[in-house]
Amino acid sequence: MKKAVLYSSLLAILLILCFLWAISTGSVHISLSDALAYLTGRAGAQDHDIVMKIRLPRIIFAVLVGGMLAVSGVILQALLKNPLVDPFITGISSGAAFGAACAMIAGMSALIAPSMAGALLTMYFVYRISKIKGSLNITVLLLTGVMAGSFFSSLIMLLNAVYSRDLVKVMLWLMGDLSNINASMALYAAAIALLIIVFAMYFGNDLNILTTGEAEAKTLGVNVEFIKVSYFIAASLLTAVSVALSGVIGFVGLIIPHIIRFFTGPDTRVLVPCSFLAGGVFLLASDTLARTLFLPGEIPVGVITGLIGVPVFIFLMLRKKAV
Amino acid sequence: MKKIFFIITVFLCTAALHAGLFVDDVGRTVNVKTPVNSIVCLSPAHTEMIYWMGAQNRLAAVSTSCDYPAAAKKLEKAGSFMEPDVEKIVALKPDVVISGGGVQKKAIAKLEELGIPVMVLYPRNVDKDMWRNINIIGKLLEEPVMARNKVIEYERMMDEVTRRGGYELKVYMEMWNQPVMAVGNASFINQMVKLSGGRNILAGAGSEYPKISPEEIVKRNPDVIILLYKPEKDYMDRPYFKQTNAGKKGNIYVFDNTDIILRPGPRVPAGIKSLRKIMDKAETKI
Amino acid sequence: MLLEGKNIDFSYGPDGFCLSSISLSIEKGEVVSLIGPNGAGKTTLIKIFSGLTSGYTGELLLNSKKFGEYKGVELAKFISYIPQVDMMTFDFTVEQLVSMGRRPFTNETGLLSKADIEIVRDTIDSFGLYNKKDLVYNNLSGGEKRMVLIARAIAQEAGLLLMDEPMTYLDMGHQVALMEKIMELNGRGRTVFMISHGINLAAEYVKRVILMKNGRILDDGTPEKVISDDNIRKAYGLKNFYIEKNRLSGRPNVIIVPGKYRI
Repeated sequence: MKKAVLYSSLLAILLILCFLWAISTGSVHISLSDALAYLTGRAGAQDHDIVMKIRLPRIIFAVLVGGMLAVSGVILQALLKNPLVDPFITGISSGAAFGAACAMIAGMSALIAPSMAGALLTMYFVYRISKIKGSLNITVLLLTGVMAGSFFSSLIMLLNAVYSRDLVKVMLWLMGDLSNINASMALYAAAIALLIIVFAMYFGNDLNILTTGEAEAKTLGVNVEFIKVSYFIAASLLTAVSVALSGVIGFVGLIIPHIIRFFTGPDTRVLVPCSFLAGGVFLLASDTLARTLFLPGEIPVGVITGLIGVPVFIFLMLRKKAV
Repeated sequence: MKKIFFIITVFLCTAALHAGLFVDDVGRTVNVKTPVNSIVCLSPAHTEMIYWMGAQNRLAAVSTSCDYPAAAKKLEKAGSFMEPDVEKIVALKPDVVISGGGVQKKAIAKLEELGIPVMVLYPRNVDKDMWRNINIIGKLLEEPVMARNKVIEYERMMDEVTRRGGYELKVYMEMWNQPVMAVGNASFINQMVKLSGGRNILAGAGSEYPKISPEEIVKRNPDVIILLYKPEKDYMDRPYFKQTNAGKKGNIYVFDNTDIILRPGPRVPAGIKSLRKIMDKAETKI
Repeated sequence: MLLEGKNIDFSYGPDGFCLSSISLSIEKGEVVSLIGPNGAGKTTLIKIFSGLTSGYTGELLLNSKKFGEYKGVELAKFISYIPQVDMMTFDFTVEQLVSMGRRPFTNETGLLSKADIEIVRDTIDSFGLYNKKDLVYNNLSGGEKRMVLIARAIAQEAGLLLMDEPMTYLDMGHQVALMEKIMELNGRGRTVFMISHGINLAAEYVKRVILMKNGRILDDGTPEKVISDDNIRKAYGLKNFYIEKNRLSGRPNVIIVPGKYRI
């Protein structure tokens, strides 16, 4: 418990620092003191709106999506008993991307509904196939998820080949983007995220026990089926919402749980809140870099998370070998 | 002054072309037996040009993207713009294949190997390159006089729609918004905008259609915003629009008939005319 | 009677392996060894008796009440199961693992009361591992790991301990130490039902041995009765062996003889 408080506090401080950096950075030069003044109510001309209406929503969005992806990664790594699993392994992101691609090609601008639809359909499909003799088979779940992911990726490539005019749009959407903030959607997402985090922490000990073995968990009184199904749905929802709102942003869900687990240990109840904060910091930092490194252009944020994430990951792997 | 320069260039272009030996827009030297009676045209802009020049009965096949005029949709298809159907083209035994946009390299290489002449026509400005293209087609058809007249007609149309004098409006054009993709260093479109009375604020950007930071748009403060796609219902409320001059004065326009400004063909004057309408309207509101 | 199975039949599928007519009962305070060749159905039987596998026909009673009538958490207060696990995916510490044994007494949050924590620590201590309680389980030796898993079952305070080959991965010294520990736990009131591969070790300590083959119980009784020439030959298809009484304990030991010798 003490560890949890310590690490959460450290991460919260890191988040605040990151926030201060992000709010005062952008293509328009606004000093930190000015930015803070706007936040606390000083009215102003253009700069005020830039801080309050462009930067602030985007920052909140980045923290939210980063946190959701990280928590989804924590849950799936526990469910699949594999610390090298990414939330996209369930194929849900590919289903969402396919939904969005279809919508883009059809000329639609509203992409959230079609991508959520794609994600949820994939989740349902994977779930149904993995439910064998009344029990959710985790190995089958993993395989089905990977298959579904490949299947939809191929479909997307087919669409791109036939409707090549929209190729760039689809590719860029796929690489992840946090600039399309919709305030009401962000609010729904935050509500969902909060509910799921509370759930994940409440039943966290049962998930811990489950990772030591299904048989052991059952004989210790854990309702194994309930834990498997509800955590699967929880992780899928978090992933689905993240992808629907901001495309496919890789590495956050894979790396953050891994790094945090290194410090806090594998207890889900500690891992979930700390990973949420760390995921938020990581994505916020990545996005701020993505929108300022090569002005006036923006790099897709998924590129930055990969470029930073992979070396950090490899470094940690090497360090662990030495330990 | 421009008129004289123009007439001289027309004559020089015609004179410079050897009978049979052509130099296309990417510098390739191609040997074509003229007059061509069977053309496969893979470039929508040039399909339009051929129709406009009255030579559509010499078209053996077009690409699936060649949809204007409507009659072109009924023609034989030789693959898509991105993926031409090499086998089909070979079977048609055309006298020349016209390729556009510079994206069909693999197909071109294959066709060359099989001895079929391919001309890559890719005008990068609205004047000299357009006249050259018209003349090249005229030479291919062995109708140089008709071509010359068409060039004059084109120039007259351009003259009619070009805006002279008045305030040059700062223009921001958006290709897509998820993520935000703008029209950047796309010289053809930027020229058209200039002739209609505006200036693309991102003309100096690194690439043709870059992904842009919304703050940059606010920073550069356009007078007119043009959306080249159909946006969501409350696009006017987008925060990075509302803080620009364009947003404040309500000068945000949806222009989704993008073919007339993205195709370097005979509808370029019409494209400039539509842009001009927007600029004129915007100017009244400023 | 603590655990009673009447005419249990079970199969994994039409062509699969099956258990037939298993009838056995285990009294409170017994230590029973389940032996038999590979594929005899020992693990399947233990899984059914631990409530992990259903889909069998016949009756299975715990304290005279049908298994199906117990809720998962209730069952957990009576039966603990220690499977053949060695490494765990995640780096839980010894204390964290043994604390999981308190799950039937906490709710889903797993939050431990002061009393719970004390029980956990006392249990760890009784296995001689208190100074290692904050070490990562995965880094312990095979013998220590096995002790931790049993400690978890003890912290569960369940009367019945079901073990699937607890001696796997252990060297001779640790096997004996574990056996002594199991007998100690039995002395303090636990009932033990375990699958053993090592017949001789089991024979030295337990008072009841059940021999299985091909999904059936071949024999059930004292080591002297069950570990007989006839039974061993029938069950294992072994020919080159003889049975000798341990000169101190009197228990039967199977002595293997290489083929080149004549018996």
